[in-house]
Amino acid sequence: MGRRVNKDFFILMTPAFILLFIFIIYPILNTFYLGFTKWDGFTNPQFVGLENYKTMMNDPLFWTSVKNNLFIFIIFLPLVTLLGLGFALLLHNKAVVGRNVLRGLVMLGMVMPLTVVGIVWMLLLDPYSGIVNKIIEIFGGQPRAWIQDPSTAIYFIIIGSLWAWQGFTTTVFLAGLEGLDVEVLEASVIDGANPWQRFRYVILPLLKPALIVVVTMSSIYILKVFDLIYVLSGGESIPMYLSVLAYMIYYEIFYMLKWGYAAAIATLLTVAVFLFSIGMLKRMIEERGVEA
Amino acid sequence: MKRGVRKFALLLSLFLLSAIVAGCISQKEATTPTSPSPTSSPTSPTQTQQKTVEVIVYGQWGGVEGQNFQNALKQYEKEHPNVKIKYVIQSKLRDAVLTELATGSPGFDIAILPWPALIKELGEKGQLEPLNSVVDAYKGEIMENLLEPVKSGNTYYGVPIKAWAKPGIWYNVHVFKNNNLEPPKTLDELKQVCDVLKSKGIQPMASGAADKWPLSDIFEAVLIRVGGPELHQKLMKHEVKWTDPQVVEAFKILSDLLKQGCYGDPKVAIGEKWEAQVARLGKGEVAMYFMGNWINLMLQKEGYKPGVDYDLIPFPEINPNVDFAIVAGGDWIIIPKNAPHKEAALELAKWFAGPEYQKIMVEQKGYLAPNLKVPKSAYDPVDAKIIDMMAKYTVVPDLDDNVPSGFQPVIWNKLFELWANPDNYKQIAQELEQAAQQYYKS
Repeated sequence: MGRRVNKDFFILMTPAFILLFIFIIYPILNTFYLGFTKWDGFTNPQFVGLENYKTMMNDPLFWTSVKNNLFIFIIFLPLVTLLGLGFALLLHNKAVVGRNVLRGLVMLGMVMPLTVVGIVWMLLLDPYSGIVNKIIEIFGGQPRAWIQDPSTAIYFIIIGSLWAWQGFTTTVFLAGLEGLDVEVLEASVIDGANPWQRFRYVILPLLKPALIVVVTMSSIYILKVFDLIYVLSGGESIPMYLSVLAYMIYYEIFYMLKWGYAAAIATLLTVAVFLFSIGMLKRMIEERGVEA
Repeated sequence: MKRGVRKFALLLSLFLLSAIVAGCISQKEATTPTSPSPTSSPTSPTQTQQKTVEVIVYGQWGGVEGQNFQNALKQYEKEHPNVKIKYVIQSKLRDAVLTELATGSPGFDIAILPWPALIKELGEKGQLEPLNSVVDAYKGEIMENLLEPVKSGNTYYGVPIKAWAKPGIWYNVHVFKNNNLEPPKTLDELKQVCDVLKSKGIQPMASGAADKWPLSDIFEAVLIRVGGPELHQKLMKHEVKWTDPQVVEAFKILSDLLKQGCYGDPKVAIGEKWEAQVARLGKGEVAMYFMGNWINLMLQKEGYKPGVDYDLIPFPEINPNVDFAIVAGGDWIIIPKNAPHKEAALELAKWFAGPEYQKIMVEQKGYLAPNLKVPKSAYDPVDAKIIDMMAKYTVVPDLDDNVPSGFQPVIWNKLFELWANPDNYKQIAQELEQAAQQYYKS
């Protein structure tokens, strides 16, 4: 019976595996290989061993990009988690008027392509006609080019990313809240828990699987951030102070014609994203194991 | 498990595998360069009688310019009933062209590119069809200074079909008249004009800084006025350093103008999109704007009249001991080595490079012809004035378009940093020199 199941399992999995291999595994392996080559995209790749990785270590653009990625990550992750949790708790409350409409509004940023999100924010923050600067002027302040100003640009990248992504985190937390066992919550009320204690000691531990998904997916999202920065900074030439690893890959390919070097950076980024995915999968399996 | 389900899974696997194999084979066939033979030629007499060829042209001309281009293409289609031209506006032209060339089977026949350094590089990498036959068809008729940047050895990998120039500062005539101002001829006069306009609450100059590339045009104009065309060309080839005293002086002049408020509040100026400044110039919200000849067409489309509502002056003199020069560039056509319809593309390229097509475009305004056979009578008065200036003064190629392609965005970004922090000009010059050493070496 067991052998039969295994045979069927492999037969049924074959079509999916073929697609997975062609569109996911092969490109990743090929990128990994190209990272060890010097390649301009047109002529034959030349194997150069670890040369690209050595270059990377001495490349100021690489370190600026890593620093920016980390800075965005550190600010973005707690904020998007807290915002998502806050919105979810609010929208889960039946006392909130028009909560279905609000749920739709919260999701708006998530359903819009990031390039559109970028354009919306560009219009909002335009120094001459943007509504943000108009409001600032009404209150006696001076308009500024917030997105272009090197001292504020990165914060608006984070704000734009939050706006776009918090719909996802809200949805995941909402799903988690909807799935909570009502009897457990009622029991905590009977036991005399106040709202804060109910949240801290009952709801939050039960939301752990949702929290893991939110943290992992948000980390992956923000590590790969590119399109929003690309649009907000006017496209093509992102200033160095805003460069992130995903942009650096683009720059090395399309401006420097260093596809091999770009592949090495892409490999590094893939490994970072992969580590987060592994963490999530491991914890989810553990959770399932505990439940079973 | 039911036998049917397993059969289905097996069949699906087989189907996927065969589809992939078939795809690979057809891809290989498509990427194998085909030698042009009379039978395979899309424009061979036998085929032209039977088949319509669709030539795909990639470009980034949109708006009025794109419409004018489509109008010109209709003329070619009328004269060549078996050829249809599909013009595809690629907002990310560089990405599209490079990606498709890298696949070995590009989906376009012709691309119109504004980057001569990239064209030469791609040609040298064997990705482009040599266009000597097109150049030879118009010997001595095409502007030499636009042919040179796309030539490697004796091979031309691109042909200019459009010229543009950055002749100077466009100004709003009414703003100057209403404030009893004369267009500035020297740097000191420019600074005085700035002070007067500022005191009247009018932004003296616009820059289009948010798009970054216009800043290199302003910098080049100042550089030429400081050290003449020789300094400009030497810096382009990195024969002088970015920390050369004359280059640093150019940075300092810009820094002073910015700090004086000639470009408005720097915190706002860095958010100016270039296209939006054209309308502001027309309305008189800003008095002057250093920009290329193409805004002549844009201003006229907005209903403003040249000579009446707006006019043009050369960038004010800084060093009286150096010659004046105009920065000019162009858009070049390329044909990929593996273009799907190479013969038809070559025929169309010949038409693009010739006076017939370019006259149609010139008559629609805002377009300068690299083919010198286009009569001057075809030009609008302002465009004709620019052509006269180009004949009178030295013409130099655009600096940032002709540096190693990776260095171009570095220049734009460093100048943008200058706009954001004008006090930092010495450090910016040093950083540009450090970057230049790396890019010119590689």
